[in-house]
Amino acid sequence: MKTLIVEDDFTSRLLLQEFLKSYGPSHIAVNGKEAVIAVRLALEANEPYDLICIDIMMPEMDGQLALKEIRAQEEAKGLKPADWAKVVMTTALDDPKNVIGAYHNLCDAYLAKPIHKSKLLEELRKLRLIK
Amino acid sequence: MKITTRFLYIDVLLVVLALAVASLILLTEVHDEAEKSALREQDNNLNTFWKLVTSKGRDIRIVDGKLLVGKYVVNDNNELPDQLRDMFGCTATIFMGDTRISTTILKLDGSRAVGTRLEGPAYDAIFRQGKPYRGEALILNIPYLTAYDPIRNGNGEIIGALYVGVKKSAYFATYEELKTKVFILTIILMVLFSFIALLLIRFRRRADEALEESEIKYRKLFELHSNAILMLDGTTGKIIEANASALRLYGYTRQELSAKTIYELSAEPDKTHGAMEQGQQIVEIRLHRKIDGTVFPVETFNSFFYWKDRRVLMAAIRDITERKQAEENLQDFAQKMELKNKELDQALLRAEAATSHANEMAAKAELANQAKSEFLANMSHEIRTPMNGVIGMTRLLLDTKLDEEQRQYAETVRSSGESLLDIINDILDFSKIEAGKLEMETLDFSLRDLLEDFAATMAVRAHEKGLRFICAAAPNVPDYLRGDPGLVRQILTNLTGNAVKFTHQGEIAVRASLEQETNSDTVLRFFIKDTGIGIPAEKQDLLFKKFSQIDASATRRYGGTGLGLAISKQLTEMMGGQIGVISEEGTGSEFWFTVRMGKQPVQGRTIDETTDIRGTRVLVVDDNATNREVLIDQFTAWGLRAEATPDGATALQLLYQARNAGDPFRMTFIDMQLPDMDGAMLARIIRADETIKGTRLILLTTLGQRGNASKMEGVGFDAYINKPARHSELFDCLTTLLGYTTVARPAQISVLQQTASKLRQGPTRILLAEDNITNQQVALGILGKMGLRADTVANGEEAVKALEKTPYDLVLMDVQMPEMNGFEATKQIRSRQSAVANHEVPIIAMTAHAVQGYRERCLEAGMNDYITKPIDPQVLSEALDKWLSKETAPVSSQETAFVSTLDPEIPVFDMAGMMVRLEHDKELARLVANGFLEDMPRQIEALRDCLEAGDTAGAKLRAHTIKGAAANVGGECLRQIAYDIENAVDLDVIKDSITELDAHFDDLKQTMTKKLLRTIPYGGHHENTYC
Repeated sequence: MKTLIVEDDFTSRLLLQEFLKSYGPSHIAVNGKEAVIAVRLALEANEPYDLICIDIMMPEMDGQLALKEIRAQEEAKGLKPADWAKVVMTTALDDPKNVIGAYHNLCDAYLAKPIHKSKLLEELRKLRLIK
Repeated sequence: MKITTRFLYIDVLLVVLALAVASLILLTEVHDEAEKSALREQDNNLNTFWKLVTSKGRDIRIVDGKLLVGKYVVNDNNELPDQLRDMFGCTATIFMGDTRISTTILKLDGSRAVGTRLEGPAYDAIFRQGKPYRGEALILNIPYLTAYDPIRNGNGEIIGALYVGVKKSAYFATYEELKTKVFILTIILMVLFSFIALLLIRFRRRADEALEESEIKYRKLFELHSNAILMLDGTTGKIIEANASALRLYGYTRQELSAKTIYELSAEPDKTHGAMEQGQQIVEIRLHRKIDGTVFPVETFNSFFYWKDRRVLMAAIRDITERKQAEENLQDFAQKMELKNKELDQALLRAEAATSHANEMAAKAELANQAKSEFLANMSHEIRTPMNGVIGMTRLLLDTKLDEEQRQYAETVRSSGESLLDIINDILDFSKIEAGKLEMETLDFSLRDLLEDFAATMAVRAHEKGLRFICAAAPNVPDYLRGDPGLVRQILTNLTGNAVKFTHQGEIAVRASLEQETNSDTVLRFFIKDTGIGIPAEKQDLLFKKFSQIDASATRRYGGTGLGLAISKQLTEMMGGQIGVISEEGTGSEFWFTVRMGKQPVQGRTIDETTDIRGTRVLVVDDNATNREVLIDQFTAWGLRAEATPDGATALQLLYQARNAGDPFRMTFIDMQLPDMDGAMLARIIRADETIKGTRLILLTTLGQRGNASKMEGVGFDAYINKPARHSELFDCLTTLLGYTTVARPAQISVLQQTASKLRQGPTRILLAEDNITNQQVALGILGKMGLRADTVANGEEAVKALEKTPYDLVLMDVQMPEMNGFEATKQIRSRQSAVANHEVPIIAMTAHAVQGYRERCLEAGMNDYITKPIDPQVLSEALDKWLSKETAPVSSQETAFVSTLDPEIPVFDMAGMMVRLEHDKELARLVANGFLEDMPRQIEALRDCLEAGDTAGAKLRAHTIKGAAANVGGECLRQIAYDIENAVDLDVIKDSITELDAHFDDLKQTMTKKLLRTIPYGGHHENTYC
């Protein structure tokens, strides 16, 4: 499983990376802009990400906007929705509007911070990324 | 048998022989007839021949070698024979002497056979005896019947002969034919009969075999029968046959036995004689003798029959030695039993006497009991009056200025007095009922008012223990009743009190339902269901008996007189009802009782149905199924269209669906605690979306739940209601928020708020666990100076017990105590399994160990703080200030807006939570914490930069990042302050709070280091581990 972690916060990045380290390589992006670039490069190399964990509120470009662009890229590449990267939104507990927005933008799951290892793995299991 | 087969052969042979003879006779007859007719014919032929011959002249003689008849010369003149042949077809010849001189017979060459001679018997008869001859001869190999007559001359001398012959076949054709037919017929018949005979023989043989088989079978039956069977001559008693069992039984060989008579086998020959003479079928018991002389009892079954005119006796004989033995034993036993029976009868007589005595005693006891109850009823009351005086006065005394010793004594008097009073109250009630002194009142009352009042008091007790409390009456239960509300309430209080006492987590639900209803009467059923320890099935019967708790240890553990349920039973029975329980150990109990109540003629004011709230669409979001059910039931009864869901995500879905359908929910009731997101978050989500924010939001909170009303209001709730929701409150809330009544919303909220906050007030209850008297007195003295009182216990076990009974506000815990030390006691108090009312009660350790590391041990054990002995009044005072202030301190004023919204319970560092999230990976926790501690100052710096640059949006974004990071590591206080900054409107306010943010980070850093990293040295015990 190839993962892209998009987080502006160091602690969150560290946690996600640690949680996911036994499931395959994970790359890091610190804001939405970097994330969009990372996804584009991966698509060009024909090695797309299986999972994208993306924070919502970030400097430069926020998660929602980044997600929209990522989906647009995947569509442009001609990928079927089933082959799109699974997107898990990670967000602090008190971001209601964003949560709804995330759903509208076709993310696959969301996790409230603080991030729970067991909850994260459970979501990944639901998405059939891990067993 | 073979004989019969042989008979059959002879039979067949005879039949065949008879047939042959019959046909022979028939043939002979036919033959004779043919012969006769042939002879007749010959005679006729001869006579005619004679007439022909004599027609030539009577004078016959031989002259010159010529035979002359008259003048007619016969020699070589064939006229006469030819004439005869032409007339009759026969052959004819005339002999002169023995020589043929005229004939019809031709030689083989065709010439007349004249000149040949007569020979044989015909010659002898004619010429030697002078007689005619009749016979047979072969002429040219054809058989002919021949007839010869002699020809005599005038002197009577024989000079020749006449011959006539006919073919034999002409007369015997019929005979020959018949002979062949009879022969064939006879053969056929013989074959047929032989075949039949064969069949019969075979059939017979089969029958013979069957017979033989049957014989073998019966022989075997006879031989192998387990009984000895003897076949006797009925007259002599001689043994004809004996089977194998008989040989075995008597020990003789077959030959030996067949030489004996029955009398020789019998040991009582006289009786045997009698039996033989009777000649009937009888069963007898006899003594017989074996070959070795042993005499043994037998049972014989005799049957007589006749066989070839011989009277035969068939005796079946069974050895009954064992049976006799068993019978004897049985008889023996029966005798013994009879003896025992007699003894029993005597015992019964004695018992009857004792019973009647016991009945007398019981009657006396009943009277005595009654008297005792009456006495108790009177006495209890007498005791109660002065007890009230004692307790009341002690309370007053405690409020006066007392020295420590006096205070200690007075305190003991107070607590002992209160316990005593509880017990006395129970006894008083019970004995009053038993003595029939309790009078029922008949009052008009509202059941719902009663339940709501009751719920309000009970909910506090339940919530103190962290239990959910639900209380509701089914919508169809009539409200305006007539009866004794006091008794109903007492039963409810008893049962619910028990439920609270025996339940350590979960919920308690009190429900009322309608059992029966007439115009004037109603039977109600109340259920009190808990999720407590439950009652073992075998103990359930004991429950409602006086003075019994489920076991003695329970009495010690939970206190009480054990009278509550007995009283409840008496009370329900007085009100024409019943009481019972369904319980499963470890799962919970459901007590129920029924009462019969009158109905008030007019059902008074009901909820104002004219207010048209019907049809309003309402959503309930609560993870507790019982709560959902109660609300839905009530809403449905009011005609609302209510739906419910257990979690926030589904709630959102429903809200969107309703919006899309153009039929939005007008109100949404949200529980504070939801599985996926808390109520506040759900409210924010709803309020944040323009399309669904129109729904009115009502927060369902638990009474005494640690929360903050203003915070809730800030989130966007329109109102909040304490669970269990009162009927009227709920209705008012609906009508108010839907705009049907004029009650102002803020007013309602403030009223509710007051109710909640009032509960927090009241005297401070401190428990001192200390085994050393001096230390106790010191501590009590210091506390007294501060105006605080404390109850004292001498060890951990007592401390735990005291906490089960009383929800203390704080515990001062000595670490080293006998029985149970402070660590163990703390563990029990914190354990959800224990019966302690408040598991979260602050515990301050007191110890003489002023070494580093001991403090950590205390904190690890679950204590909140730590002070060293000898107790420094200043230190104790500060610790108490810190731990009691969260309970009693009023919410500070508005000037520190953020601080006020901080729940005082929020911990600086929720290490436990963090560890759970990281699945107890301590290494990872350290890694993350270190990373966090390094990164955070940069984040705070960035936030500060934004503020200085006047970039509010940037500052908020930074705050948001800090919030997320803090949440990840369990930095709850830091997270809260970051949250406040993120949501603040005023830049100045944010600037003010940045210092606070710094402080919180420092706190977190210290605590985290200490608890998790242990790299930074311990730095005194005054720093806040809580906000």
